[in-house]
Amino acid sequence: MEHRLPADPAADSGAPVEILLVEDSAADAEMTLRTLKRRGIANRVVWVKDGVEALEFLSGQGRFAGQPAGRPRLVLLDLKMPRMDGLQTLQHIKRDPDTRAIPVVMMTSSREEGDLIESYREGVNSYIVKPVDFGEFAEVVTQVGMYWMISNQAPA
Amino acid sequence: MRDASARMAEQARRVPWAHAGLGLALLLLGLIAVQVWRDNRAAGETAEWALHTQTVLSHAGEFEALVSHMEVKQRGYLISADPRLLVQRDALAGRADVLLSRLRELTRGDAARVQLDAAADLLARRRVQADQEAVLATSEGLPAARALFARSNSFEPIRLALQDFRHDSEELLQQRTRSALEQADALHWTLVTSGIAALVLLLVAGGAIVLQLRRLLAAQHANRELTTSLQAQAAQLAGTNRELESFSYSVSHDLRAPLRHIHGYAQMLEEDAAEVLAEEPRRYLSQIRSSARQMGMLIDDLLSLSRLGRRQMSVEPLDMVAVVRTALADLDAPAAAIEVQALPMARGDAALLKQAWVNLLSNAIKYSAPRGAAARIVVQGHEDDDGIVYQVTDNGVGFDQRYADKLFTVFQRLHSAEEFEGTGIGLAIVHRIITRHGGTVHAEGTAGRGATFGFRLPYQFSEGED
Repeated sequence: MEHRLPADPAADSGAPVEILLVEDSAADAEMTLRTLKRRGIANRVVWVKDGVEALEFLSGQGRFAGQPAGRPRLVLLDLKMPRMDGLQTLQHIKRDPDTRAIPVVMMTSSREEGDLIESYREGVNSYIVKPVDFGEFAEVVTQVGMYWMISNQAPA
Repeated sequence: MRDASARMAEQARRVPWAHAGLGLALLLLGLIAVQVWRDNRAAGETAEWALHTQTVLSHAGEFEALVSHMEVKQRGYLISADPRLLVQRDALAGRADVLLSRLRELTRGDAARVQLDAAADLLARRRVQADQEAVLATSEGLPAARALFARSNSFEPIRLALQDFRHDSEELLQQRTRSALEQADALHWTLVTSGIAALVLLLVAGGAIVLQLRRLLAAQHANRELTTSLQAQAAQLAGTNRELESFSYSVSHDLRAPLRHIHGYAQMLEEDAAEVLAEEPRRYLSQIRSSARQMGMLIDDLLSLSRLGRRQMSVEPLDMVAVVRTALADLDAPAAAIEVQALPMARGDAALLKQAWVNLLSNAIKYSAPRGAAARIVVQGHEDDDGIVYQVTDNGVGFDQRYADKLFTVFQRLHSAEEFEGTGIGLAIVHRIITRHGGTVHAEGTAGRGATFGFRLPYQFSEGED
């Protein structure tokens, strides 16, 4: 399912996907997408439910066959997902020279030391623990989004 | 368990008696050996005496025989006036002298010696007279000599004296032998009774010691079995503990997501429906969010409590003042209100102890906040016989000392959530951290005046189980 910002015609016409949200919980996805939209952080966000779909998006295959390989400016990645979890997805993204440069931010409920260490070892760009308080949650999403979309300089 | 150890203690008390008995038996045996040796010596001495007396008697007999022969020769001369008899007589006298001197030597110090001397004396006198008879025989003829001989015959007394001598010697020997026999008899009984006593003691003491050993071995065996079963139980317990902790961890973890959703959707609802919702419904939503937030804090606290039990401790010598300062840096507190005195050093895990201080200090700050500018918090420490004591004293609202033991249990609070925010797990975390350091926690309070919370660390670090 794709969420697009309504009333933005540019978004429909294949404007670049700025954020790939990889999240299996619909509720968490809804809260994240709402915040991204409300705070005007990204024009176009694609939401996939697990790592397999994420890789399909990044390579233009499977569900996304017929489309060019996705190159979002940011990947928001959850850890615990079915079929292929966050760490494996991260590995694939970071070991593929074509996608290695894409910033990946892990957003997850887990603060397990082991997960942290593994993620950084695989080259995650940032690791965020999702707060329970929605206000704080929205604040974190905004900060992360603003940072990677606006402050951070990326190659064209 | 107590029964077995009580029995062992009792036996340990009996052991010195058994050993004493054994020692006594050995002593008796030693005494018996000494007595036997002395008896042996005495028997030897008695035999020597018998031999000696035999020799004396045989010499005395020979001596008497010689003296008799001398007399026969003399009498023969008085009859035949044959001078050859006198020569023979003198030869016999020579042998008698030798024998006499030997006898004298043998009987030196003897009681019977008196008789021997008497006999020797008489013999000397007879010989003098015999010589006189011989002279008379040559000068005046045999009848004159015979007349002298008949007048004073001093031969019989010699024989009698010798007989007395022999008799006395024999009696002496008999006395000696008799007393030796009596001693032997007495010794015999002593030996028998000591022997029996020693044997009995040996048997009893030996038996006691053997029993003791058997019981000791049995106790050791039981001990080993107990240790094995305890180890098995401990392993099982550790396994169960680990399972429990990983369970509580994953449960807390999985509870977070739906909580986030509850909070999030309540807030999103409140934002989106602000215009159409009246004040009450909006308040309900607010309550939903606040309860979700509270639950989130509880889960966070449970998670950190469970994490504490699993983390490896890295123990090192610590400057406690430095640890306290890092803890203070984590808290929003006006440093001025908190006085940190000199604190003794200790060994422990810096991160864990910092967490403990954070909890203690944030409590002190929280509960003395009502005092405003008059709030005073003091951190102090000292060493005593049992360990190092650290304390945080505040002049806040305090607590009722009667409920002090509930303080360190999970989720126990002595004030309501409305009065003071919190989940009641902070002190449980402190308790667990200090317990893992092998220490103890304590608290004193006076309602309305203030409280002192503290912990004691042992001098010798040893990791404790919760």
